Amino acid sequence: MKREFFLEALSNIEEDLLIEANVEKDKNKTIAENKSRFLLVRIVGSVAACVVLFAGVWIASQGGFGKVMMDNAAPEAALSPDISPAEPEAGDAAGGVLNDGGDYNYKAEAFSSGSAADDVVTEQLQGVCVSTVRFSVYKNGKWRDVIRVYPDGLPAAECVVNDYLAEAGSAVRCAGVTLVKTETADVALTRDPGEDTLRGLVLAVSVITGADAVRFTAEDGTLLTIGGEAPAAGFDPEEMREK
Amino acid sequence: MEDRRIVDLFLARAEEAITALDQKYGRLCRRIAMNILGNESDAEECQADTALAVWNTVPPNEPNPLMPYVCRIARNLALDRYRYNHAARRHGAAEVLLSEIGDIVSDTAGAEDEAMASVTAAAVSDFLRGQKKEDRRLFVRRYWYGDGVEEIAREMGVSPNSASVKLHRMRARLRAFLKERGVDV
Repeated sequence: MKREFFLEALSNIEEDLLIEANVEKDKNKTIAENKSRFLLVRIVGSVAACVVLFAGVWIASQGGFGKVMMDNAAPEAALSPDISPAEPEAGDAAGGVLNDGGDYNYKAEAFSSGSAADDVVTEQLQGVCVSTVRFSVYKNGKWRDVIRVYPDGLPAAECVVNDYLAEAGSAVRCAGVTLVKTETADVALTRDPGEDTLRGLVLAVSVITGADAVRFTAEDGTLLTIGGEAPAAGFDPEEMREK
Repeated sequence: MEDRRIVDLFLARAEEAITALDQKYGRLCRRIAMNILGNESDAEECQADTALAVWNTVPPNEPNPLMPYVCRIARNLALDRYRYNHAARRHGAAEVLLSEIGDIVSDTAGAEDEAMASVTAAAVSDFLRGQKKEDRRLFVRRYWYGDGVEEIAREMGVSPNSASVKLHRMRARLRAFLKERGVDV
């Protein structure tokens, strides 16, 4: 048998033998690395001990620990006993952190990024053929047109969501959808490949606006409302907008 | 990344499969190739060819475990390259390996087909299973992965001389074992 042939034939030895040799190689490397790490820890520990020792000597030479702290304390702290913790900000909803400072209730529980909300959206979107979609949000007793998505998912136009985005370039991202304020009245919409635009949009819009409910109207007139505190089905958003 | 996830990426024909494979096994493949070829640029080429070969064979194959599958491809590609280099007198690191293997087989022409390769591999596997674990690792590291004796000895915590002696004895035992099994050495 030729030597080269034997060397090639070795390629077919059983796999677990290869794995065993390689795993052991990694383990041996780990042992060597641990030894180095242990040595490093010893060195760092020795240096830290020296620092503590010198610090102690210095403090003692300054008259003790209490004197050092007193000399460095801010004078006002002792005169403001009633500092209370700051009020928490209106909560961050999943994926978006916006609060325009207005009188809106920032509630997005119905649209958390948890699977329950996703299931609701998915269920209600199933079987719905949507080409042009108009989103409205219901908040503080009013419906407002929020966003309009064109047939092929192109960036939405005339979007009231801009009210919620501070400046051009600011963005909110949620559920694979990103809404970015542009220089014009438009809001650009992008989505991750494979992400469901409608689902992501519902979640993103709800997060931005803190809506209690989101409604969208399909081109064929189908009206879908998602959320807990919207008026009953059949309610006309156009009528409300005029009020 | 888990091997299963990498295989799934290949099955889905996702380009990030190549990157994931390279990140996990690229260095190992290059090392195997380097041990045989002794040439950095040839070894890098083998590494790249390995990724391509995995792309072309997965699917239909769904290797599990993945590591031996990838390493085997890398080794075979390196040996092919070695044969090409050797034919044109462009020698490589495998020369040293081959000189040691001369203790096992006599380097005479004989039946060298796929069936003989399988029989030989099976016999070597059986032989190795009968050895102590450390000796088994030593043999596989040396003659499959092509790692150097000094490096293996250092990692296993033995002297290079001790490792060399063990390998020498194993080669002799393997030759006797193969003869008993009827493998034409």
